[in-house]
Formats: sequence, C-alpha cells, structure tokens
Amino acid sequence: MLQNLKSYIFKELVFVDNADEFTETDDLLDAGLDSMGIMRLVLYIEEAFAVSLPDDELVPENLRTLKSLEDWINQHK
Amino acid sequence: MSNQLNPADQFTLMMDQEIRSSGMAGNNCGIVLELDGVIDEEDVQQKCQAFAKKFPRSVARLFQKGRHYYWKNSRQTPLPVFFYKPDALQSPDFDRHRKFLDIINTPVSPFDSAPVEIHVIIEAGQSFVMLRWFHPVCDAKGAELVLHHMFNPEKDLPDSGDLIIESMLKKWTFWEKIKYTWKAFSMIRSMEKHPSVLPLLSESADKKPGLRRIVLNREDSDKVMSLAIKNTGIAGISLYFVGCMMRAMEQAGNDNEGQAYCVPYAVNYRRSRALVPVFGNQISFIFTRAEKQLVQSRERLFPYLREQHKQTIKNRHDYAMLPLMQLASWLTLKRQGEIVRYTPDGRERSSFWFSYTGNMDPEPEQLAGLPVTNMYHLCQVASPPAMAVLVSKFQGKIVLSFNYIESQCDPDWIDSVVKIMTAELRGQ
Repeated sequence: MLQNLKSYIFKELVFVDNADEFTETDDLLDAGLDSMGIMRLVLYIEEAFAVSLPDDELVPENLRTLKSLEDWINQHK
Repeated sequence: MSNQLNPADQFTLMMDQEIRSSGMAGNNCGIVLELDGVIDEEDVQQKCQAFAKKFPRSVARLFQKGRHYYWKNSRQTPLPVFFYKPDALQSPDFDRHRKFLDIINTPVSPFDSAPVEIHVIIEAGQSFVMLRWFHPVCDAKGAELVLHHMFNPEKDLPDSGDLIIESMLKKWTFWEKIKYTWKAFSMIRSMEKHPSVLPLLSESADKKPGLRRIVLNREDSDKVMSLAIKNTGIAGISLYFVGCMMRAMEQAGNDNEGQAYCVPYAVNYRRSRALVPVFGNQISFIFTRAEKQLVQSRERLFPYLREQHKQTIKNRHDYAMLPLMQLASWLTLKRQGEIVRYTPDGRERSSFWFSYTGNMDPEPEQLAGLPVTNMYHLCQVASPPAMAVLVSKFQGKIVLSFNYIESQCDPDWIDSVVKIMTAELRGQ
C-alpha cells in the first residue's frame, strides 16, 4: 500500500528531487501536497483501496505522512 | 515540446478574442514583484536575453494554420524589456498601479509580439518588476516559473518537461473522450438553470482595467487559512474564497437581475513544486455555483460548495473539459467563445472569474540581488462579467487582487465588496 501511495503522489501530484529517499514519516504537506492534490489523492485512495473516507476525517493529521495515510486507510478497511 | 497550442492554450486564446471584442487589449496577465532597492538594469537585460535564448518560446510568434494555432520559435529575437526611469517618474501624479494596468491594457497584435515581456519601474530605493505574459503561452504557475528560471540562471536547467494536457488526452480512447465531452456539456447545461448575477453597471465604450489589492498580514492570513480548512476542508481551500466573494457581492448589493452566482475557475494539472514544464497552459476549468438564498447563509453555503466540489472532482468534471476544449479547437475562436460563455438565449454564465494560485512557487526571497517584499497577480477580464478575483500567497501573507472594468463597476460598490470580502474571510 505504501508503495502505491508513494508512486501515485510523486508521479501525479508532487515533485520532489529524489522520491526514492522520501520516507514514510516525511511530511507530505511540507513537500508540496496542496488542496487540489489532496482531493485527487482521496479519490485515488477510495478507488484503489475500495474504502470510503469520511469528509470530517480529512484533516492534516491523517494526511501528514505516508504512514498516517496508511493508518487512516486501514481504519476504514 | 510541441509548437501547436494545446486545447487549454487555445481556450485562453479564445478568451483573448472575447476580451478584445469587449473593448480591452486582450488576455494579458501580470505578476508584479516589489523589491527593496534599486535594480541593476544591465543585469536584468542580460538575464532576460539569456532566458530567451534558453527558452525560445518566450519570444516566439503566434501563427494560424487552418483551424489551429502554433508558435514559431526564434533564438534570434530579443525578449522585450522596458525600464521606466526615476527621472521620468518624479511627478506626484505618478500612479504605479495605473502604469501596470496600462501596460497590460496596451493592445498589441497576438501574432507580431513576444508573449512575454519584462517591465521595470524604478523609484527612490525601490524597484517593481512586472512580468507581463500573454495567457496562451502559459498559465499563472508557468509565469512564476518564468521568473524563477529567468533570475536563477546558474541553476541546472531541466528539460522542457512533460506535455501534461496532451498526455492526458492521448491516453483516453475515442469513447472515453465522448463520455467526458458529454459530462462537460451536462456540467455547462447545469449552469443555465438560473441566470447569473453580474456586477456589470452598464455597457460603456470607455473600458479601462481597474485594480484593488489587499494584502492580509500574517496573523490574519493564518486565521483565514484555518477558517478555510474548517469551512470548506483542506481539499477545498479555494472554495472558501469563492464563497466569501459571493457573499460580499450579495451584501454589497446588486441591482442587476440574476438568481445565482456562477464562478468558473482553473484547476491546474502541474505537479506541485515541479520546475517544468514552464510553458503551455496545464489547466482545465470547472464551475462552482450557488443560488442567492444559499449565499445568504455561511452555515449553508460552505458545506454546499464543498459537496458540489467533491462531486465535481469525483465525477471527473475537471477532466471532462479537456476533450471538450480539444473538440472546440476545430471551431472558430468566436464560436468557441459563444458556446462557453453564453447560454443559448444569450445570457453570460459567469458572475466573476476566479483563480487561486496558492503559494508562489518557488518563492523568491531575492530577485537580482534585492529582497522581494511583495508580490501580486493581475489580469484582464471580458465584459460581462467585468470582474476577476485572483488570490495568492506570498511570504505567508494572503494577497487578494480584484481586477475589474472601471466604467462598468461602481467604485463605491467595489470598495464595499473589498471591505465585506476581507471581513467575511476573517469570519466577522
């Protein structure tokens, strides 16, 4: 799951110099994940992992890192 | 990089024709950077010409072949750079903002002039650098990259980057494009249920661009961003600004008929923080819309806009405009304009145009060795709707640019809109 998320984010939404070195605890928002990117990411997650993510949980704590994203998705599996 | 205008480029060329036919100079935009100190003119000249050699698109010329439009690149053409010297500016009547507005409102042929120009005003201890760009050559994020690459020439230049729009269109099958085009038509048709509220006072022959600019301090900017996340969600920040603007127009009073606020705005497909591609519009556009009754209540308006946006993205309506723009590129610019802007019975769909460009990226701390103290965007707008609102962030401060047509918007009304908008943003 982490690899899928990472691949989607850095291929489609955010440019970083070396995506391979981006760890699961690095800050995605600091890396440049923006408002529109978050919307696209959530829709990607809902389709790719067959989950429904509630709007009221769309908060920075759940989106901050790849790890927090993974935890959030797992809560709804 | 392809020399043919992509469908989004051609869409902005259509808007150029619409703006010209409403009596203005064309689809010209600007970014202004305010610098603390007097800039070195020779250094600016050298950097601009070096940039033009590395990025010939910046001095290319537009030409038409059949139904489509292309850029003809040339590495021999200089990039136009203009300096407005202090001696000429000692008059107390000198109005810097008016000068910038006059620059973007100077009519030039889209076929015989460079799509990018640099204008520099030098005042006592201060310099103001304006990048004027012709919208078909790039979007607002691309324009920020032009400034970045122009004034950071020592950095390794990346390749020209992906053709984002073209790649998206190539990967769809014919039937997928038909499906998306149908979605786009449905979206546009849904805008026709209620006539748009327009800020237009009256049609007038004398059309000059006007600008009101507000910079919120850091504390207010942080508060506004928190309220945006609270009201329209971290994935819908721009909607908070759109909603506040709708409410400001409603509260400021609007004598024109109309039942709903309909707002087209751009969505950008560039990867955040990517330094390429510089040129080409990598955008599509979507609408958000709310009836007047909804606009009167913050509690009802923001959840409504948030849900509407979610459905728009979920249903891929943002992508849907791409094949429609591609299809439309076979029509004349005039016909494209009629289809996109007006309902079949001739009503303008847009209450105002909106763009949220977020943080200037990369954000320059210095330009040509001088500290950058402020930044703002400006643009031209057709009539109707006669108003475009641009929102950006620079050094943690929110910058609001209200661009309008002077003779068509009551100045007292504009003042009132700006005042109410800033109060609405602060949640007051």
